[in-house]
Amino acid sequence: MSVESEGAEPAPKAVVSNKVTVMLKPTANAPILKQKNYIVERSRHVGWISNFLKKQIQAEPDDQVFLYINQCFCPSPDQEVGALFDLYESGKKLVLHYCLTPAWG
Amino acid sequence: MECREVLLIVWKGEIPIQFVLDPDELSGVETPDPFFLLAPRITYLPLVTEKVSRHFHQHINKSEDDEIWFDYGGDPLKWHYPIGVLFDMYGDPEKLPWKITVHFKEFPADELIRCSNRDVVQSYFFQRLKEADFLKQHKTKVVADLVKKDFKQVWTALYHHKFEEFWLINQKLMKPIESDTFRLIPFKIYTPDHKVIQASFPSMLTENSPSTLGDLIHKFYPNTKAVTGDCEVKIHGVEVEMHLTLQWIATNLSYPDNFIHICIIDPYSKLSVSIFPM
Repeated sequence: MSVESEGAEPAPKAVVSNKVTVMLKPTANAPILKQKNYIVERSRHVGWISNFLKKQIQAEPDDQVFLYINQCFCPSPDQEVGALFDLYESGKKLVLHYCLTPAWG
Repeated sequence: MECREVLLIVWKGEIPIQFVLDPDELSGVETPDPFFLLAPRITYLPLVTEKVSRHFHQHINKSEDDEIWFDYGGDPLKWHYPIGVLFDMYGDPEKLPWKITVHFKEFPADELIRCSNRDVVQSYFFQRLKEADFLKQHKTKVVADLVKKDFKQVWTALYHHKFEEFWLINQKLMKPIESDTFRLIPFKIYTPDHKVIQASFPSMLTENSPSTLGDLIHKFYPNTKAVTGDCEVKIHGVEVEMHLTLQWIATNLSYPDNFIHICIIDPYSKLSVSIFPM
C-alpha cells in the first residue's frame, strides 16, 4: 500500500492542534455578530455551534438556525467540527454561513 | 460505470425486524403484539415505522411530548443512519428477526437528533446528497442542475422504494464531470466502538493509480484488526474485497445519499455482548 506517499494527506503532525478556527458569517438578513472568528475544539459537534450561535444572536428558543458549508449544504448536527475543518477548510478556517430561514435549500 | 445487477442487489437488501414496546411504557395490562416488518437496508427508520408508531401508540399513556425512538440492547438507534448501517453496527445476522425496542417517552435528546416528521428526513437526506456531490465534483454543479422535480423524484423513489425511478435521476449524480473519476470519495467509516470517521480521500492516488478500499482502511483505521483479518469490513452487510477501487464502490455500493457507508465489525466484541447480555 502506498497511501502514505501520495494522495490527500492531513497536515503534518507538528501543526495538528486540538482546536480549529471557525468563522461565522451571517446571510439572508441574519443578525450580525461582533466577533466573527472563534477557536473551537475539534471534538465539538455542529449542534454545539448552533446552540452557541443562538445564544450569541439572542435567538428565541424556538428559532431555528441554519448553518451552511460552502454556501451549499447544511452539516449534520452530529458532525464533528474537526472533521469538517479537514474536509472543507478554506484559508485555514471553517467558514459557516448562518441564517434563520433556509438560504440554499 | 454502474453495474445494474449489483445496484439491484443493493437496492433489494432487506432486514426482518421485530418491534416490541418498552414494557415500562405500557399503560394497560394487555401487552400489544410485536410488529414485524421487512425493512429495506437503504432506507431510514422514520420512513418505514409510521405503522409501527400507530400500532403501539394506543397502548401507552399519551402525552404531547411523545416522540417515537428505538433502541437495541440499550443503544439508541440513530434514525439518520441508514437501517442497513444500524443493523451492521448493532445487529447480529445469526439472530433474526432483529428485535428492536420502541419508546415514546424520555427521548434521549443528547444522543439522537429529533425527527418530528418525514420532512426532517427529507431535508437531512437532501443535505447529504449535496454534500456528497460537493466532495465528488468539487462544486455542487450536478445537484444545482437537478430541478426541483428531479429531487422530488429521488425522494419519492426512496420513500416508495422504486429502483427505476431512483436511478433515472441518480445516474446523473454518479457521472463524474471533468474527469473519469470523482475528485474525492464520499464515505463514512463506522468503527466497532460506534465512532464515525469522515475525512478527505481521493479516488486516484496518482494519475494512474486508483485508490482501493484497502488504501482507505489502512489510512483511517490503521490499528485495525481488519488489516490482520480479525475484523470484518462490510458494506450492505457484505464483506467487500480490499482490492476493489473506491470509484467502483462509490458508483455501485453507495447508499441513496451517495455516501459509501463502511462498517468495521469486530466479531469478538459482538460475541462478548451475547455471552454477557445486558
